[in-house]
Amino acid sequence: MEGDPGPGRRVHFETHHGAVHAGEIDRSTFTFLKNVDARSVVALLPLLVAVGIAGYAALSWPGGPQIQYAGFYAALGSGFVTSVRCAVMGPAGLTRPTATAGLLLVTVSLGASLLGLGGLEDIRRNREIPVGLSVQAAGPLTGSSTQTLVMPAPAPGEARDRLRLALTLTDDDPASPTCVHKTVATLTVLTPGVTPGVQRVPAQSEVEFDLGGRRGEVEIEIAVQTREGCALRVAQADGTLFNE
Amino acid sequence: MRGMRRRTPVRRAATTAVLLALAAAGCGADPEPSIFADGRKVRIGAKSDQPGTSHERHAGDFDGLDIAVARELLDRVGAEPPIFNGIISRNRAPALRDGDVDLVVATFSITARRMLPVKEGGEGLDFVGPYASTQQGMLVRAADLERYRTLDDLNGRLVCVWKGTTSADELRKPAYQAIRLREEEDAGFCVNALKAGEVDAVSTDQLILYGFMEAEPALAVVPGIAFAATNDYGVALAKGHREDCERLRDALKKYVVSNEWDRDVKNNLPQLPLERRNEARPTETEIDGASCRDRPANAPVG
Repeated sequence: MEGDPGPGRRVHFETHHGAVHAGEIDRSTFTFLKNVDARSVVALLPLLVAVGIAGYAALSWPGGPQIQYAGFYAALGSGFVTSVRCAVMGPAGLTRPTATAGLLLVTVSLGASLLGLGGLEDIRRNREIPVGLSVQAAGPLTGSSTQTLVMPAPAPGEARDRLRLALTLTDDDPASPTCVHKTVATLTVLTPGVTPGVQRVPAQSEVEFDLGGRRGEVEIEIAVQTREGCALRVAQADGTLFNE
Repeated sequence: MRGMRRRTPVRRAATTAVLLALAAAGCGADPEPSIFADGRKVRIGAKSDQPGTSHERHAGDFDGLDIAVARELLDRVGAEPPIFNGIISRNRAPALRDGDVDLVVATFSITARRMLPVKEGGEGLDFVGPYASTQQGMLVRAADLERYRTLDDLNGRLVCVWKGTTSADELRKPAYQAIRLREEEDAGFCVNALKAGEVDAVSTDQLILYGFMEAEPALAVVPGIAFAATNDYGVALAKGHREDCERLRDALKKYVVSNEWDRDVKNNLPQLPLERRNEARPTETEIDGASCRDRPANAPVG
């Protein structure tokens, strides 16, 4: 039986999920859903939203490691699957006696897709930004020379709170006696406001710096403590900007 | 319970199949036999022309620091006494990779390239070491010793080095372009050329040079010339024997802190000054950092 149950009356719908008391469902909703065109729009709406978000994501993909998109993929995938279910259900699914379950499915689908959109925007604001550091120096690193690592100013929208630096020092000449296992490097930050100012690290290391809100170029001086006659070079200086 | 009883034979069968598969995989893996297997004589490649470090006095009769180190380490891992074979510098890595020898103990410097696997562009060797460390030096005729105090005094002079050594690589660098080089096949040729007055000096590791100084009274090491990166000597073996390598490493760590190491250095290199001997002794941390690895380890950050 279709029709307005009237204000204040409890309604009892039989659905394939079992009996549902829907007294709380707003009267206007059922009034709206009386219209078959409106029911068709509501049934298709989750699919339109999911596809729209997927298209938006594809056009404005922030990039970076895929692992950070796991939540986005899960949410949008759930939203898409349930939205297809809504579309298949069609306007009939929003008709009594299954109207409540249908509406619930529409709500879940929209919620999942919007959650994915929120996740995407969060990644856009906080995603990790790979950044290459250049080495400013001529000749190898020895106990009496230093080199400067320079991180360029990040592009607009890519500034972050912290810098993670993956550093690898190798023998300047791999055919000469190896010194790597006898070498410790000292990293001294030359840019004000970046902390910690000094860190001692082994030849292969990963260190983090708090950029202190800095949005520009960062310079880090590298010196090595090694045995006499040893010459090393910076084989890798890969930075990652990130927020905590 | 009936259901469980019904599944048990299936589980047993599955477990048996897995165990059989694992056993078959284990049998099929065909691990490298130990170099130190019972009754097996370890074949060692050693230099034959470097008195003090590695020298063949008569056919098959070797002595020197390398030989003493090899014997001591093999004794400590419970291996049979080894057989030594003469080897020249540039054949050290190929002889190991081709299986002509099991170990090379031949004043062989540990380098990043030598310890890198072949598939990564390296020479595919594992090292146990260092068992001694030394910088590069210069050997001259004793009569000419007064002429040489610093490396600059060698500018324009003819210096002999031999192929396949880090010492030869070092002197080819632009920093030493004022020094003229003559390259020979191995140490003996260079020393004979020095004695004959054909070259002004011979350059290689100081430990080797002090061995020549002991054997040839007409020659002398220039005391004030020690240059280039420290050469760390390692016992080399082809990759694929990591367990044997680690046994040797553990034995070496005990050996270098013992009186036996001092005894062996003093007996074989009596002319080596005490200061140089102290510099030659490696630490256990250095041994851990360079032994049985594909690339050197990180240094501890104190």
